[in-house]
Amino acid sequence: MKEQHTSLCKGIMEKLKNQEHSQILMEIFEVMSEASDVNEASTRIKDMLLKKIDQIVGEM
Amino acid sequence: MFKVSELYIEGFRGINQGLPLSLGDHVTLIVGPRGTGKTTVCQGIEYCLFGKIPLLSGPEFAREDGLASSYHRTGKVLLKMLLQDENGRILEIIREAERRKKTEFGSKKSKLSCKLMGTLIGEGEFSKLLGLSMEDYYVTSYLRQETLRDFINAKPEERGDYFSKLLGLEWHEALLTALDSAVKDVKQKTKIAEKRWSERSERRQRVLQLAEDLERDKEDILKDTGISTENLTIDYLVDLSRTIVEGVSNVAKTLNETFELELSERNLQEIYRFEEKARQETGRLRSIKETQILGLKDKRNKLNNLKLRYNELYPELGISSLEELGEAKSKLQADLETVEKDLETKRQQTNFIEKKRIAIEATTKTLEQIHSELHTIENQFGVKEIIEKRIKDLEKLINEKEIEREKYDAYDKLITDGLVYLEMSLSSLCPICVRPIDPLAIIENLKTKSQELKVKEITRLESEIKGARTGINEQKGLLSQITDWNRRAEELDHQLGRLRKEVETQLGKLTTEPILSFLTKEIENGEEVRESLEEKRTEVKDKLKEIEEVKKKFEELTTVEQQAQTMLSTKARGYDLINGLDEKIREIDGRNKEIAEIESDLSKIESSLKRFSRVIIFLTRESQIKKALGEIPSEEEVKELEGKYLKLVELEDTLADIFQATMNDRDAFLQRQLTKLETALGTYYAILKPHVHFDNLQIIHDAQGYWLKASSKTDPAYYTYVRPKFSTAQLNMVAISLFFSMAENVPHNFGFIVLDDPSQSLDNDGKKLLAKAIAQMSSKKQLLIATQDEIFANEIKAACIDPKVYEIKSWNQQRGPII
Repeated sequence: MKEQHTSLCKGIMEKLKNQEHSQILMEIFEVMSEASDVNEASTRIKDMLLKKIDQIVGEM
Repeated sequence: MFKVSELYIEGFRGINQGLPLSLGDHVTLIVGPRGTGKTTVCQGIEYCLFGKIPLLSGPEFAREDGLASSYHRTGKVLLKMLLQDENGRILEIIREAERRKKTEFGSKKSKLSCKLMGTLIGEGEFSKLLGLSMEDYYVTSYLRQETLRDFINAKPEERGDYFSKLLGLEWHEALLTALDSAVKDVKQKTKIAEKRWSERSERRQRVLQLAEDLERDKEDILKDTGISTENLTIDYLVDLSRTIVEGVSNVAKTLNETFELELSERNLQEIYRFEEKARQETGRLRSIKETQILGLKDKRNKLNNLKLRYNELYPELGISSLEELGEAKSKLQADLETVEKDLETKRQQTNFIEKKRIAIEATTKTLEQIHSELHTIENQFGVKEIIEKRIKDLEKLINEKEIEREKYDAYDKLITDGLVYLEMSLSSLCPICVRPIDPLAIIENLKTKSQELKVKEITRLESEIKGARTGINEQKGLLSQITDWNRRAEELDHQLGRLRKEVETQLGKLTTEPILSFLTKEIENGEEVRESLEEKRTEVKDKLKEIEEVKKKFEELTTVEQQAQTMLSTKARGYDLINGLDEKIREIDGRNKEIAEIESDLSKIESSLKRFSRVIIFLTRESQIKKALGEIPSEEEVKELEGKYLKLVELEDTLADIFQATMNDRDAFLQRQLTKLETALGTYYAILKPHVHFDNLQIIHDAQGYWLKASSKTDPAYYTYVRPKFSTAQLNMVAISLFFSMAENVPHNFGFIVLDDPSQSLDNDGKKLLAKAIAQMSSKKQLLIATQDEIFANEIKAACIDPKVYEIKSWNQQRGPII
């Protein structure tokens, strides 16, 4: 994870109400770090989260 | 941080021939008149970096190429920039494009070529290297008046995106955007999952519940209807339908009605149709039955009423026609007329007698008064003859007194003559005693005494005559009055006689008794006769009234008779008719009883239909539930859906928590950034001093967005939100302060600022202050300033260290700007 993102991730993690949610936050920042700019990061995060939702939903 | 060292523009807008520019380390100034290509140089840098100029787009630019020079011989556009950072890295940017053909429309994509230290790099790497988005560029590196004015004039909530980028919140915003989208998506999916889970779960529960209910219903049906379990079949319904048809047939026959009812096929649909039809028929027949009963009841009531009335009237009247009544009535009317006539005669006679009695009474009374007066006079003054004698006596007395008076007149003449003689003789001696005397005095004395005596005696006599004459007049008056009253008494006697005669003539009889008592008796007799006549009249009228009542009753009897005859279709009258009515009533009672008896048949049919209905509903439900039981979701499927729903709820909760945490972190970060920006903003605002009183500028952020608030340092309570109280020139200076503070704080690697005509609308003091601010900024960033304002250019030259200056003299089509 990039230094800038590490700091951002740490700041947000401290503000979580439930620390059990930090696992998904870490996954989000891993994806964010792979992006070259914010727009790409936003798209990647969206995709990742949608994929996660779809995995749960599957065929309903 | 990269700065621009070289710039080359060719074939771009108004720059036809190649225009090379070497830029100064700190400030480069391009000065020239309006329309000579200064802004084109600024736009050239924009186009070279991003390959587009948003301001030069729209419908007109779709029709006409506004980027390529119209006069370049090849129509090629070539832009080059040479950049260098503090580490000595050299970045070469080349942007190429071609003039659009006249047949082409829309923008034409340009070609970008970048070399870092002579090595080609991709567009992504180039973008990453500068870290400068187009939005950043407009707010931190390219000051266009319209952009800044738009920014200043924007509503607080519209400044959010600008500030977010400029304050380094883009990662927060990107994360929030992605999370917001994901939260919305997961919420939607959660709703769908919940709906599906609850739908299927409820459907499963519902069907299972229905199956349980069916079993209970089955027990109730068996208990209520008394049929056995094996009878819950279509065969049982078919058998029951025959019973129903038979019952309906019997009822219809009794009511003289036809019917249509038959079960033709042994399936549920047909059985339903039969049941509906059977219900309709039963309902119809029941309705007919009720109508018939009501009709019979009505008819019976009518007949009974007719019978009772006829039976009452017929014996009572005892007459056979109205003619009989007419004769009796005529006789009574004649009697009435006679009585009325007698009454009138008696009334007239009584009036006459009364009138005469009053007249006689008045006359008699007057006569009595006259007699009374005469009697009084006679008592007082005597009778007529006495009064006449008294008058004669008085006349005789008058005569005697007049004679006596004549005597006195003769004596008086004699004395007077004697005295005249004496006077004439005038003897001075007394003839008797012969003594001397005064003859004249004596004569005079004698005259006087003689006169006195004469007067005295004549006065006495005249008084006596006068008294006698008055007495005669009085007596004559009395006599006249007596004569007059006697005359009146005579007249009244005549009048009484005449009245009596009139009465006798009128009454046709003579009477010897006093007329008044006779008349009083006559009046009393007349009163008795009148009373008797009135009684007779009342009696006759009562009889006439009775006849009228009998007539009415007879007419009613006739009506009743006709109605009864019509109802029985007979001409019978009297007791034959009454017997006929009795017979008809008995007949109706019989029919009524007959119809009432079908109630039990109808009840049986309805009871059968109830059983029929319950069995068919049960069979239908049983069939449907059996089918539904075969189709309901399995317990495993429902559990799986519940699991998915719960996982989605958990994910939604997680993402919402992360979203809120990111919001909180962004707000904290924003506050830190605003604090940082305020320092630079304070510096440039203090240099430019746009407002005398509001010498402090702050950026405020709240739920409604970003606000620019100017206040007084000495009195913070005195403030404005810039737009309401600042002029255009003041707003420009605020904008430049903001632009410079942003340029210092927004993190990217492009250390170059372009200012296109920044002194617009500023006065000379403002230009001087702006030059000072530019000098301050030039220690941090490299600046390229385009202006047509020579005063401002001179201020720049004075304020900045060693600025590089390009002066554009003119412009022509072949070359473009002439420097």
